[in-house]
Amino acid sequence: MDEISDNTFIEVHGSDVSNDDPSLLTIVLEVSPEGWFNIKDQTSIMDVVKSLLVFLNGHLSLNNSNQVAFVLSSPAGSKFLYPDTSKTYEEIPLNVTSEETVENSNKSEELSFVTKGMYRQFRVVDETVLSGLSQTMSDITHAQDDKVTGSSRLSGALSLALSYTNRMMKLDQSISTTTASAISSAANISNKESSTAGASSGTNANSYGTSRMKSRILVVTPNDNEDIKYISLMKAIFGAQKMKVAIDIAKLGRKDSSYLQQAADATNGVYLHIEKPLGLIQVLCTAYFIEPSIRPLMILPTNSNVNYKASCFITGKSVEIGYVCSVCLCIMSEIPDRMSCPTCNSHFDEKLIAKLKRKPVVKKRKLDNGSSESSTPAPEA
Amino acid sequence: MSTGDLFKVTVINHLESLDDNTQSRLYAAPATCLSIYRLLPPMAKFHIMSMLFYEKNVAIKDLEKWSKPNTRHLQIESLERMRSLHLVQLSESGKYIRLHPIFKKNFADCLTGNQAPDAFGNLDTTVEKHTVDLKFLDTFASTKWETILHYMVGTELSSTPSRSVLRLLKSGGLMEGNSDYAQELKITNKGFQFLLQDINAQIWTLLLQYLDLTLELQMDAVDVLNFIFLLGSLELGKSYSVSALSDTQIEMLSDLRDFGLVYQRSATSNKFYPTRLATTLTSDSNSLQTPSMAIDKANSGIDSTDSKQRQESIIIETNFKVYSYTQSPLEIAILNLFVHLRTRFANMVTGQITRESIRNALYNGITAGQVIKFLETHAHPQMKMLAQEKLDKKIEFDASNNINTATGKSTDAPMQHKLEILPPNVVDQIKLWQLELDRIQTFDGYLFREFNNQIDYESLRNYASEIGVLVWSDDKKRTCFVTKEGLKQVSNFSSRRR
Repeated sequence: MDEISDNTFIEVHGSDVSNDDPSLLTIVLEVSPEGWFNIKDQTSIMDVVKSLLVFLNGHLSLNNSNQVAFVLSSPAGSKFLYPDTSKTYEEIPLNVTSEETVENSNKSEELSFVTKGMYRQFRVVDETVLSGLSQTMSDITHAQDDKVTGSSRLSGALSLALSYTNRMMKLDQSISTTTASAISSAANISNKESSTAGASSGTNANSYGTSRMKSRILVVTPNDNEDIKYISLMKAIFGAQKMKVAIDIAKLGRKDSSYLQQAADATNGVYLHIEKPLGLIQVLCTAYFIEPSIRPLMILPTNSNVNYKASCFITGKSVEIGYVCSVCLCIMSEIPDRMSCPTCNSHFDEKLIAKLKRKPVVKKRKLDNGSSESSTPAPEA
Repeated sequence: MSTGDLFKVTVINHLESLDDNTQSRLYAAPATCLSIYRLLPPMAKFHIMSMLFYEKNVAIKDLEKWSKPNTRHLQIESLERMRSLHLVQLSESGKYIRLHPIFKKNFADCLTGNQAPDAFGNLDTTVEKHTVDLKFLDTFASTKWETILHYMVGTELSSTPSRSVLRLLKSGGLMEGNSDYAQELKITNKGFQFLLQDINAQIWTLLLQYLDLTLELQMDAVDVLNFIFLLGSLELGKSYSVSALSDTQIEMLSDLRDFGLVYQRSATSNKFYPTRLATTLTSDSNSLQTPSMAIDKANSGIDSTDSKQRQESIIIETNFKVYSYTQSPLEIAILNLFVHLRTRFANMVTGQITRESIRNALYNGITAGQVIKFLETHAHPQMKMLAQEKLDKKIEFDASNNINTATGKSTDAPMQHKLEILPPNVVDQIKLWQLELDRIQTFDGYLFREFNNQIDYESLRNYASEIGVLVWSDDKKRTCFVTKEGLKQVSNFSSRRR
């Protein structure tokens, strides 16, 4: 009797697993001149961006309320290409074609990807990203003489993406409100209230809280350098973990990046090292197309073989065997000169240090065998 | 399944019932491809996307490798959906599939921007003498739609819906009566169920009814469907030229105007404006407005700002008492379906949910799920706030007791807590009352028995439960019961084993 009566309602919950909530996809594209130069015989930024745009269109076509964002991380700093606060999307010019002819040939070639008859959501995103990209590119070229440091700003871009995600999750857009209005929501409030039923249903959903927006981040980088700012990257990863945002990594270039592997691993994301970026679109449309809503059901195409290397807090180099501060778990490849932890300033026991210096083998902690819990303190910190 | 998804299923079922040829012609329009794609279950969306830019045939086995073994039934559902819509074609051996070539080309073009320039409507760029802004369109759409709802519930209004709408309501079984006169039709049980649905589902109900009607009128179903899907991808607040439309579609405009889906300044105008009702046709988010809100608007005139607050106004206590801040006849009529109403005050009604009142609703064909969903969406904001606070506290409590949140993979765990807007005892009781009524459930299917040995039996039963077609089994007697749909697969399986 009980079995029979239970069944009716259990079925209801079962189908909830694959519900079709709207989701946010944020793409972080890293533009480091060196990284792209290294793979210049394989692909170009423009080709990759075109694939990414098709990928974004695919994401938008999943659901009317799906949202996208595009963050560019360049040596000069990170910034949003889409949504672009300086533009109002209602007034995107319809006469792109006429503009094209006036603009120089280079730009018209870039914009030729966007056609006038394109589905509106696609066109707005694609146009904004492309024009923003060419703008940034020319900025970088002109600013070459200034100090453009080669180091990666990926962690900054990730933080930007995460803060935007956080905002969108809180706001939970409904059908009618566009991304643009999310950004300038303060200005629109009066407008919303007076005008539409649709807008008010958006706010209801918000206070309701049942249909939360899901989100994920895709990082595309060709950067082979290991000089990523380790601490800030780790902080971004833990932030993403807490928000349940998966970070997918598409690594171009020659080498695997152990830190990014950790990022994907910790957030239940997909990490793939794409050595031949020619068929990028196919990879994007399969391996990276797993929506948060079906993620629990899928086998992620990711490599379980993650290198949990940590980075030295003093020199910034990655270490396999090093010292760990017993107070704050800060990792060091060498004993600091001033006998105190560089992060938390706690003083080390002089006797112990003397001991360490004399017989370093005894107190060393192996980090690379990966068999026990204690071997991976760094990513857990 | 939530009610929001219901309309998707009905639309897909309708599309599946079309013949192969019609479906192929449908896929010739990029807007239709996009809209149909949106209606598919998530797994099917993933499968299509993974095949979209792949030139060769894909082995079904390879597709299966993507998902975890315990989700076989979802996968089979996805493949079944795609096959019955003819979105995929099987190779002769049945091991490889590929996308329908026309669909593949058009959908890919749509994503890469290579489609025909007028695939998503022809924007009319001529300057408009009378400006039509969003507010005007919204008012237009909601007055049209309200008129229909008002009429159904019998509010005294000056205007009645047009004859074509009346005919639809009647042929759809939402209203009944012998004559075609507006005053003599009466709302049916189905009509009351219709009122409980959200607005998207309501529109689709009418549109599908309309489709059936157009077939009788010898209109081309492909043209009609294409136009409906095209409307869903148009831009709100822009005017479109009718020049790109076929004659059938121009004919449809006047009917769609009666529903409030499009606005035309006059019947002969050569441009039209899609309204919000139209542009959200293929999206599954929450409804734009609820019936009660529509009524509130009508009662309070154009002033819609304060109707927003009154829109959700139902309070339910754990002792089954219901208070609703409303004056609208529509909302009271709907409440009366499943609440025993007691007193009516100037701005509110009170009542009690009883076994009798719920059973009445159930006899009328309304399900417990519908009642609960309705109460949830119309709950007073204060109730929602309290529920949210409670949920936050629970999550916080969990987080503080379970320090081990930073281990990753925690996303796999299902959400333990749900938002409980209604008192849980009331929700459970309503469900129990429904269960009282259906003590017997019937399934069409086949009984397997007289297995040779336990191993044969077990492997067959496990396979059946894996693909989600097992209804019942008894290990002692070695018998199991399999649904009608699953028979073919299960018998294939058993013959393969031999």
